[in-house]
Amino acid sequence: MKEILHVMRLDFISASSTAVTVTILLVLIGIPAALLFNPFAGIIVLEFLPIIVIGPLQVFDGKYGNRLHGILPVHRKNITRGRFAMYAAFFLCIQLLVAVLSTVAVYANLNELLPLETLSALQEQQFSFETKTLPELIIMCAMVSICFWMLFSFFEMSGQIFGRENEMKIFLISCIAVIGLFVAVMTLTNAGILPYFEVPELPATIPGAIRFLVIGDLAAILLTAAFSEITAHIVSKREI
Amino acid sequence: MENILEITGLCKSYKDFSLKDVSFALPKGYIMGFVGQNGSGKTTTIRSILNMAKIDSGRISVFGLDSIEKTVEIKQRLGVVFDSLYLAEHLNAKQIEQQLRPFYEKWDTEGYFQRLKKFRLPLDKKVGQFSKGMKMKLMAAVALSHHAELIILDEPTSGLDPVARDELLDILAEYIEDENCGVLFSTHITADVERIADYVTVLQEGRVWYSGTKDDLAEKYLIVKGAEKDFPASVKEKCIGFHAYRNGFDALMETADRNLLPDSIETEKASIDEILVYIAKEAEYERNTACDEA
Amino acid sequence: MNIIVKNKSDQPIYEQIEDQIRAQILEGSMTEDEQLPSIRQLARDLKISVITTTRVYNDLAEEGFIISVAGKGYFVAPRNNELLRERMLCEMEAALEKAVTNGRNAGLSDEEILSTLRNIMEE
Repeated sequence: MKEILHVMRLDFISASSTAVTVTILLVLIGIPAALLFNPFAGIIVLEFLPIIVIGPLQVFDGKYGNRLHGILPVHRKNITRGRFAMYAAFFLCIQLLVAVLSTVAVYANLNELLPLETLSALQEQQFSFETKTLPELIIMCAMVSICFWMLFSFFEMSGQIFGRENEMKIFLISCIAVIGLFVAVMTLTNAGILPYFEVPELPATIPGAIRFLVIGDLAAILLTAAFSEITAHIVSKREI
Repeated sequence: MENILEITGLCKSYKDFSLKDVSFALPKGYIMGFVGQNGSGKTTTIRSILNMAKIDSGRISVFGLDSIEKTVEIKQRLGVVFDSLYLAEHLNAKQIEQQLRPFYEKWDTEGYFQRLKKFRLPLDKKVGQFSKGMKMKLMAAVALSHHAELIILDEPTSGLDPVARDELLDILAEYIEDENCGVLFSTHITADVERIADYVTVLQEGRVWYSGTKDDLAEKYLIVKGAEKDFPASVKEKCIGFHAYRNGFDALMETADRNLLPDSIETEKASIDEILVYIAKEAEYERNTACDEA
Repeated sequence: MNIIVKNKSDQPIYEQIEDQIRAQILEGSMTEDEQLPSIRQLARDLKISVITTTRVYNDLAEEGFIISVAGKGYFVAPRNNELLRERMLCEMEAALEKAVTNGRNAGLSDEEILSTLRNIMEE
């Protein structure tokens, strides 16, 4: 809907003005890291980009209040939808960028440009590894990106519904809940009550990896839409 | 005469304050001043018109459209100025234009920048760094840049120096030259209302105390002063906000009751400020009497 | 047209403006058929209520000082306008009465006063 696009643009302009310097910095670090060193590092660096860019929006909400939303000719629900759509668009774009970088990194072997001594020194560290295969990189990118995206969207929802001040509390409660659930499942599985859950093997081919990414993205989009509608429904009834 | 804004029986309760049966109308082509003490309900009424506050009962219609059902259509044609900036303060005037432009069907980019120039507002400075007067003028520029037919201002001149206030009055006077437009502005600075308003609505503790033309209000009341002994008790009950002091008294009265006054009593035109003070005093007396009787 | 509004005066603004316009029409500084600013333009220039200026123009039109032409605006009434003429005759009589009183107070005889009047007319 047109209104949602207008809201996304509004948020983007608001966010982009503070993020320009940091974005340039991260991109300048991320791209060489991905291409010359190892793509995994690049993925991590670039995944922080949405946080730096979108994060301030949550701060701006609190600082400047919502009176602009009350004045503009736009339906309240579309303001919320625009915000979540912004997140989705952002993370999907980063995924695309990382996928392209990974492909280039794997096929161009640019890490060979670095002197051997530096490379082996780095390879002794925990997270360094030899050139990974493209499928592995794509899957890694999908998992990291979707994880961050879902976390971000979840906290946007809780922040809007319960207030930004309570985000920390909600974070802790969620962590405890997830850990508790995990422990419960493990205990019950070991006790034989729950069937042993076979972790499916991750696809090792490029098409398989891409399928994994696309299915993951679709699930993420559905979940984002769910968060968005819940938030919109509750928040649009409030006074400004 | 078509009404550009019509409020009927508006009721809205908060914990410690409520709007009770507020009704008034602003005809097309005129300016209405909206006055009352702090906490009398002016901002709540304005927020109700903008559908930022949910009303308990009553009906508000703007341009003949219902304020709740058609809130988006109304806002296309409505400009708003608040007492503090509602725009993103870390952006400059150019970026704000980029943000707002797509929302309005009748956005006038050229007009916006012309107004910024006329109001001497810089294009590249963060708007959060503007002075208070500049922020007000920025909001006015935005409000005027999408062919709005009604402009609502909530305490636009609070904290402004006299020069900035005069500039705002000038902006409003120019705007209302078009008789298809309307202005509603709430303010403490009753001098502005005395000067430029056509209609006045006075709110007192959540109720409409008066709504009509400013000229009629000015003629309807006068201030009486004199020695208390000269003042017959029967007339005293027609007084509003009777204030006795050592050497005499003063009070507000309806001009219609003038003939009941003995000649020794002085009378004087009542300004809107004075009217507000007397009706507040009267409300205080009534509260105290109610307490005493309880 | 020169209008000055005094906010602090006890006299209502509409009266101030009416007095000033009447005076200017009678003394001739506003000429026949001269167009007045529109009701809204006047309100904007003086930064006062449109209702006030509407009242001013309505009052003056009723008194015959100005006329409203549909679609065009307000104009100073032509001199042959009856009401205006009557008003101007009254003003003239009052001025002549004052002149006569002043002359007599100065000790002039009625003939001396008349001859002064003729001299003025011949100028």
